[in-house]
Amino acid sequence: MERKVGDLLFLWLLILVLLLHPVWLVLGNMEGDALHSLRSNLNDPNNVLQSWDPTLVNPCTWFHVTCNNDNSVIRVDLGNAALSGQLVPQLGLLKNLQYLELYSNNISGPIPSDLGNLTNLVSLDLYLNSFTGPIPDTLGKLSKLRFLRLNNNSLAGPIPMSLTNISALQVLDLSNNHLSGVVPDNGSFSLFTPISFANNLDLCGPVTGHPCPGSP
Amino acid sequence: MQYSYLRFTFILLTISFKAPFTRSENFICNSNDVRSLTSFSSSIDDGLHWNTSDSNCCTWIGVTCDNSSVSSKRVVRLELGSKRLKGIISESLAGLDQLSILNLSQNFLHGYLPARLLHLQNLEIIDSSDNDLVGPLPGGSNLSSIRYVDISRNNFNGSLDAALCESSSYIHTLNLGNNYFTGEVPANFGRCSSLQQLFLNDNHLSGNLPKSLWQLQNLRILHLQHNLVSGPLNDEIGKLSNLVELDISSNKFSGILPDVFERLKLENFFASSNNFSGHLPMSLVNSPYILILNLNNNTLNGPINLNCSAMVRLTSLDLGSNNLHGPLPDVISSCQRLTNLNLARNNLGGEVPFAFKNLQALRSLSLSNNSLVNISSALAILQHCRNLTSLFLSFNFHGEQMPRNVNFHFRNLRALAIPYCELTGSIPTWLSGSKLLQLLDLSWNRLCGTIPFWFHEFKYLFYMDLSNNSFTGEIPESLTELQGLINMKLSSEGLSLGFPLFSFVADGAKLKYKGIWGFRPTLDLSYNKLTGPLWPGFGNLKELHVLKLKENHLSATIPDSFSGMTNLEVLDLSYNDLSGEIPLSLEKLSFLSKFSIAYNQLQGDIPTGGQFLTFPPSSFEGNKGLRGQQLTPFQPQQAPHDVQLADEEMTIIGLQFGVGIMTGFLFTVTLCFASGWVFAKT
Repeated sequence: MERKVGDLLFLWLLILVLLLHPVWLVLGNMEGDALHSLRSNLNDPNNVLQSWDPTLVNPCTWFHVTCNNDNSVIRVDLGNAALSGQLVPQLGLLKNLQYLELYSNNISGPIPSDLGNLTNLVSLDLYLNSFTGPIPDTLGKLSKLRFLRLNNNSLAGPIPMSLTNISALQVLDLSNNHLSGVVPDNGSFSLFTPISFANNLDLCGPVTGHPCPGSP
Repeated sequence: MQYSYLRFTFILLTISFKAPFTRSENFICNSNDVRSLTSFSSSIDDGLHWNTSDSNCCTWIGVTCDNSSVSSKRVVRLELGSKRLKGIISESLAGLDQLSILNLSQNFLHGYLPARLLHLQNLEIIDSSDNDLVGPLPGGSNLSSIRYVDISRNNFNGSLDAALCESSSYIHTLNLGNNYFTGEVPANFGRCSSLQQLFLNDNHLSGNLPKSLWQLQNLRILHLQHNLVSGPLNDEIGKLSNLVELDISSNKFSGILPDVFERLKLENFFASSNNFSGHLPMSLVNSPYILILNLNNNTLNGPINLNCSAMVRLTSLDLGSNNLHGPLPDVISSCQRLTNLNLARNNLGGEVPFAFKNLQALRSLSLSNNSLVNISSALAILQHCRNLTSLFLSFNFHGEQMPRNVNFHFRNLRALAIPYCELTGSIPTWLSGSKLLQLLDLSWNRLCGTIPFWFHEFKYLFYMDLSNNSFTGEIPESLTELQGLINMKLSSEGLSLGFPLFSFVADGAKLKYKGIWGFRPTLDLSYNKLTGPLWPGFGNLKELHVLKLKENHLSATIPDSFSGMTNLEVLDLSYNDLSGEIPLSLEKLSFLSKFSIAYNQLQGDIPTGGQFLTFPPSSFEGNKGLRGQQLTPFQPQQAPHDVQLADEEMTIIGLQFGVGIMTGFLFTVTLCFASGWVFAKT
């Protein structure tokens, strides 16, 4: 009987310690602020972001936002939501974000280089939007990235060599942009075929069928 | 907070009457003012569309000039709120020496607030709230005309400084809320004697409050909530004879509440989530002024000895999550204006008093977690509260029977939650009279029988949780006709509860909602014994966000029409007997973030379009005939830390809770863990 009381006490203490762990309090606020500045920069004709109320303690009850058990954001699912406007650098503050699904909207402007801070990102789906400017070199820091789909935008400039370092990369689609320069074929890029790079401005390299000027 | 906006508007009005300004185009701006504004505009990167080549700055957007001088016009107001301005605030604004109103609120301005701005002799109103300003507050201000200062919702940090209000004898409002200020509230705030409203909420302030604060004789509103302030609440607060609203919730105050409320005209008192102990002070429970009293989540004890014949204005009372003991006092029923009553998570016990039928103003009631008994009597009494719209009774009436063969009338009921009671019986027919029902939670009981066909008569129902019971039979096809899930706009106005709602996930993470409209539209029938097919008509439920049918015996195929639930975020069909293929059309569900069809008899290819590649292998496991790349994922360094559908159960258990709810939850866990020990004693 006494042993059981001891067990009980231990269980209570253990659970209390777990519950009182304060990490989520701080995280939640900062992440809510980051997502709220995203909302401020987007036009939302269908009110899909209506529930994004910054006065709540964290964004975990917001529609289209998913948190983990520490109340930190791991998913933002806003594909095909008729959104326009621009992304904000503050997205880079969502340290635990795994899935950023913003495909099939009308979002314009550059891809913020701060997205390279999202080291837990598994999927970056920005396809079928109106993004312009270069693909940030910092995306090469996303070592867990498996899906990188930036196709059907107006991205220009070269394909950053840093992307070949992402050994987890499984699905890559950069087609239908205004990219130019050399398509790497080393590292993780050895997996990909011309279809990933089709219909760009001026890409060259073995995988495109157009040899680069000056190459043997 | 609304007070401050009202007052701001009022000030604006008085000023505009005091000195009629014109937007004259016949006169030329003062050249110094033009220079100041031009320099300001060059530090704004985006959002400001001034034609600075037009030297008549009085016509520029947001600029107002005065009419006093014949030769040249002076800029007296600069109002650029909510203009999506990006950039920094140039120090050159300090050159506008006639400026009386500066409003730069709700923009994306960053950098420091220039110290020189705080020396403008004519400035009466400065509002730079809701930006990204940083740094400590500039010291040494000299704002002799200032009345209103709002720099809330920025990223200011460092220790607090009362310089802003010390130098002025007119300042009535100072809002420093929602920043990152640290350290103690400095004693020199006591010299801001003209202050009527002081907002220091949502910072990281700590230490005890300085006694000098209680010298602010004109103070009407004091907000200190969400800081780390500790110590007792000093008796001298009784000196603040004009104090109307005091919010010290979510701090670390301790000790007993001072028994000085007879000297105050306090209307709204919020002190939830502190460590106050002892009994409710006699002067407080006899106050004729109090409208809203919120002492939720402290460690108050003793009886609930409200004197309702004295508390004639009381409309909202939240004493939830304390150690108050029962019985539930009859006398509460004399508080005739009471609309919100939360007594959840105390040690009340016993039955709901018969006199509660006199609570005719009552709209929201929570008595959750009080070990109440006799649900038949409770409902028979509460049905007489004709205005009752929200009723939360979770964790009570342990193992009793849901009253059935009676004729209760809850005609205005919009939210009913009686989960975690282990109630037996079935869904009672009297419930069908509550036609306005929007939210129903009867989860975690032992209810059986079928889910009645008449649920579709609840035109406004958008949240229904019947999970973890023993319901049998088919899912009524009429659920596919729920108008609240087909067209949300039908559901009229939001339901205000007067207190926040909580739900919790089984592992302890808690989510807070302001009212039931924060909840995702949900149908949860999981963990029952339901049989039969998935109705194709579910595809009509365009507004449904969460559909959980896991752990039943549902069979046949997943209808192609499920793709019609265009707002669906969660679809859990796991642990059933479903067969056939996953319809390719489900790729259209672009908001779907949690999906599981694990442990069924499904076969064929797993779709790869839309959201499907983002679902983990566990979403598909236990189906022998399924093929797809999701089942053999490339493994990066570590498995994704997804929220596992299998571990999560969400149930509303009502109202404000903090430590109290955890205690209830732990108690249940403990009971299960040590049932042998507990029951051995009885």
